[in-house]
Amino acid sequence: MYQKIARMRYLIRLYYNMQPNVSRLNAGDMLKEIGELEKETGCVMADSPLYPHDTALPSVPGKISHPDWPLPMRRLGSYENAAAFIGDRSSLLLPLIDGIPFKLEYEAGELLRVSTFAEPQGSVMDCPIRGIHGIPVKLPHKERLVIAGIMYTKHDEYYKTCEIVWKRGWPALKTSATWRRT
Amino acid sequence: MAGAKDISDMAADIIGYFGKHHQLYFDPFSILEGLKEYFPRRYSRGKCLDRLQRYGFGHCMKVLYHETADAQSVKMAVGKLLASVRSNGIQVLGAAILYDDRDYADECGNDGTYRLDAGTILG
Repeated sequence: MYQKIARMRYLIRLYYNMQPNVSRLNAGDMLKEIGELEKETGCVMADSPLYPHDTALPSVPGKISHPDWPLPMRRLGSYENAAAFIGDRSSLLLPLIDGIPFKLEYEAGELLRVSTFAEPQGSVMDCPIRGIHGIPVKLPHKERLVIAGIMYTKHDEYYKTCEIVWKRGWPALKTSATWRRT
Repeated sequence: MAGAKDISDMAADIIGYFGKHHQLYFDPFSILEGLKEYFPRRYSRGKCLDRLQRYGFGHCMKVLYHETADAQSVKMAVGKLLASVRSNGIQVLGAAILYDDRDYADECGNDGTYRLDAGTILG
């Protein structure tokens, strides 16, 4: 199962990053294999080329909060403090990735809502998640599931995009300028 | 001061732009609800994150720390983790340390401002 999902994710990345010299036949084969893997695994990724572009997330009324979602973590300061904090308990070390934290809510195997840290109480964030790699919109788990995660971009890709945007006159950050003025 | 809606709009715009170029990635770091039925004896955060890979989520880079901690070994573990993340071209600020046992972590609660089951260390 793990290998099949890894293969599906790899093919989706490859499909979008194809060089012009990759033939159309290869693209067709890729789409066919992605379709077969989606059927076998029961997972459909948001950025899958086979997922319809005009599909909207169902909007669910009501607010749901989680006790550990909006609260920040305290800074331990030094490794001595960190060691004292851990003590003899088994602990998990996770990287603090520079990005935007998201909360995803699934019910009956389908993605219901996406909300940001700015709206911890569960307002629906109307964002095009189709462009984000690694978010399944359907999964083979029928019970309720709420996941917190982080969305990020890689260094080199970020600077490459910035270069393109600067050349075009920075049209993308129109909203950001509005945000600074308010 | 920008309101939550402005920030949300800005995030949506940036996501829209970078998403067009397929340069955005999502990695899970915590499970807020669910999957408890698979771990009746010990509701482990690390094992839950591993299980998410079956559902199409990416591999969450993490270190499960079992030993009795001393400053030197924590420093080494954090250094190794951050080096592996940075080698993939991801910008990282430091490390978060959380108790792996989710039930114990829930008992810790919070002091009104901060969570008591987790802390961060910059690196």
